[in-house]
Amino acid sequence: MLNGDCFQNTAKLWDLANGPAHYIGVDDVIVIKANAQWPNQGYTHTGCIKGIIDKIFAIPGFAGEILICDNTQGGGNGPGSYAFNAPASNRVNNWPDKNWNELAADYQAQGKPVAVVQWQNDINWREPAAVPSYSFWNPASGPGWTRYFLTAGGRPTYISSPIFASPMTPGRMIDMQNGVWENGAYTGRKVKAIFMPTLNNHDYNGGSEDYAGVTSAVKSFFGATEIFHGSPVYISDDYVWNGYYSIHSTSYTQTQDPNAAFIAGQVVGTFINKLYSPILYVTAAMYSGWFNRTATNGAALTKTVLACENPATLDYISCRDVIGPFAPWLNPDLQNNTRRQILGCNSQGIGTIDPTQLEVITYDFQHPTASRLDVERKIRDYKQGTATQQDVKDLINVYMQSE
Amino acid sequence: MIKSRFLFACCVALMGTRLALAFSSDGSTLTRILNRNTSLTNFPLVLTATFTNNTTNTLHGFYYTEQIPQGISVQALSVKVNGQSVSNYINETGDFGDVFSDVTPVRWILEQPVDFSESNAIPPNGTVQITYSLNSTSPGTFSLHDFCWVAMANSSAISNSTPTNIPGAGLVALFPANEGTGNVLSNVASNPFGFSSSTTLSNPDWGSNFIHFQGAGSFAEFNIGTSISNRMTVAGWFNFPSYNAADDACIWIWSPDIYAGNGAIFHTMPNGMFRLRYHNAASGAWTGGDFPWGAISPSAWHHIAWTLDLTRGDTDSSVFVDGVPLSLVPYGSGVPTNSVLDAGIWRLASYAPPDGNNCNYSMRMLALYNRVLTQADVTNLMAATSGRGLPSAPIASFGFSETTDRQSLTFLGGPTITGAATSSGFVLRVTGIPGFTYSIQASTNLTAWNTIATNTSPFTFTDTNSIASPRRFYRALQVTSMN
Repeated sequence: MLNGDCFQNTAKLWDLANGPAHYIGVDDVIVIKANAQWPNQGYTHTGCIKGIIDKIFAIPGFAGEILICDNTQGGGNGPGSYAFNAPASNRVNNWPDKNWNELAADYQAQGKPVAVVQWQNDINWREPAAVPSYSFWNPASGPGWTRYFLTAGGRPTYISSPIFASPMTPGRMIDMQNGVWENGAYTGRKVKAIFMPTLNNHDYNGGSEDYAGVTSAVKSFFGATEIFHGSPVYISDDYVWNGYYSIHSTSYTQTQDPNAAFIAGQVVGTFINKLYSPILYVTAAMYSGWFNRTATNGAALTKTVLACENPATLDYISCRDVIGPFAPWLNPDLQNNTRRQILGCNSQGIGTIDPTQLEVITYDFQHPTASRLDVERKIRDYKQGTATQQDVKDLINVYMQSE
Repeated sequence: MIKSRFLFACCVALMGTRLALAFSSDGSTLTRILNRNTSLTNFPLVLTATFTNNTTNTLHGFYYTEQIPQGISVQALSVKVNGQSVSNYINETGDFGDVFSDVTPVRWILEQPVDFSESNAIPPNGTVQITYSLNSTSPGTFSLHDFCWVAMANSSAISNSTPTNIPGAGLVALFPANEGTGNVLSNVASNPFGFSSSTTLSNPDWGSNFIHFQGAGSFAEFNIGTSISNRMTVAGWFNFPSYNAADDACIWIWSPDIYAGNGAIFHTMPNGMFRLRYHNAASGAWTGGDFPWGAISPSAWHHIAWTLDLTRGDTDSSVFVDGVPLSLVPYGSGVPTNSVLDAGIWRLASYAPPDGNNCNYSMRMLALYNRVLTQADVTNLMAATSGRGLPSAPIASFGFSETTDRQSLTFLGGPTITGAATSSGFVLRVTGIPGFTYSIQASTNLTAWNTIATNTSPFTFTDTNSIASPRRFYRALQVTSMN
């Protein structure tokens, strides 16, 4: 979706994805895992998050709750500059109206169950029985993380998935792996994750590719797990805890290893296979930081929102078609860290970058098109009460003018 | 309308679930009738969908979609418009679950956008009759429930006519580039401020409503005289190829004396950027700005506007792509206030002949202004020269099956034939679709078969000849169906 505003782009995205009800049941708890760590274009566009949420609430009978989450790891520009509480001065190249806390408060004022959760690392070490193995967390013990221990790049490593309390429903624990837990047992109610990354050049100095390359869907898993440990405050991305490496220290930190970025992608692929798999990835690229994540004059107004059911293909297309034209060093068809990151994830059976195996469906608001399938889905929505007759007619008019 | 409602009610009463009811946005009707509800496996049912255009408009772009349950195969039989057979329709099958979770869309497309070249329009009171068969190789009951149709009342078209409502203030020239042939680009602006009314073209390549500069020695020259001095806007529709690092000097447009005099230029660079810049002869200073190629997607038409204000010291430049201003990376400084552009010959698609800087891009509706357009001006200009939206808005129509319209199909195995020996002969009982006609055939060698009885299902027949036969084989065949 491109050249619409954040609400047009996200609404059309749901249309092309066959509607939110295709992914979401009326009782599901939805976790929107977005990127909060950096100011300006460095955090996920709040308007895009709102656009995604509004359409979920439009599902007839939706009775779930929606939680906007991230683990900022205490890093980035530090407290006061995260997306949760970003002041207006840190919302350049983002939605200026509200930060995430304000967005959630606004929904709650309307009686809609939306809350923010800043996931917190567990500072307690738990020695694994073996590698690979799980160290499960019991929600009865309160908030915590289920950890999975593995070997990555020859190093003992672990990744983790949070279990946390719902701010909306007292006594409800949200287990990203196993669903909703209440009154001492899992209820059968599902927890579904939508990852909403940014699209930025990771390079802190800007203007070239660093050890990571792009920071988008694959990289966004770094905020879904624990990076540094044993402390409630930031230690280092490179921290090794009791001999075990985090997702960062086992990959990007290994700058001497030409496969460091590949390993990062590998570990993300393992996360998806061993912990949980989001139902959808939505890259909010209203602005793309081609220079870096935060420089306000280093982002292009790309007015694009992309979605895919896996992060590898999504990042490949985002980098090739959206940010790559502004930052040629992020072109994933070149031998660079962006490509290695994507291929590492793909090596775990996640997605594809083979052009013969993927299809890009585009909607450009400046050159709108519609297919017969789009029209039929809109007629279906009209029958089901989630679109108006005029919505159908408007889309038919677009279809009739489409090549 | 009243008559059709009366018929409609009769049909419901007579035919029950064989006929589906439908919603319509414009009063047109679509009825879907099965020749029967039950058949044997591998004996197709025939379904006829009849659409009637009850509007006073001719409908274009009609298509009909049936959602087919899993296990049912479809064969298109015929399409008629006003009773005349149509063969150039398109039969299209979507993917399972595309629209609803348990069915596959199958479409009959009488005309395709955007040109509707199949010429299967439906006149007022006209009808479309689509006939197709449904079959199953396995017994079972299937639910047909969702169909829809779509059409519109008039077609839109892309115009290559000269627009009449573009922003007029400061317009120096407008080149629609719709000549289609020849070596002249005509300026159609009514007040050209002394501007030459046409340009000289070398080696142009023409499209229907655009000019294509196709590389070697292909360019345009025009003498602006003194029509532009210290402010300007250059705007038009452009279609560029993909970025090519080797294409390091594809100059889009330049004004006189870019190096020796006071001139401006807009060109590509080998580092993947566009650059616009101005040169001041007195100070020798350059100024302008860069933006990436990525702001303009290749092989697509974009409206690009470039403004320059030389009254403000260091040049105030801006670029709009499709009406949206771009952020520019500043280039140069030190240009004095109230700088000017020299009078003289401007050039498109090349630098200076013979230069070897060959450009490959297409252009239409190039406008030159002697002022800096605002974003609103640019938006208005873009709308006026887009070539779209000139016809009246189309009137969309659609219809679909109501939730209560579900029609069930049943495919049965069989027919079955059972028998028992009695003193009076071998008693055979045939069970098939009630009301259908079946024959019993007998054979002594499984090769030669003789019909010994024919009746409607179910029926019993006693084969008295069996008594004299040491062995005898029987089978039942469907002879006719009930229509």
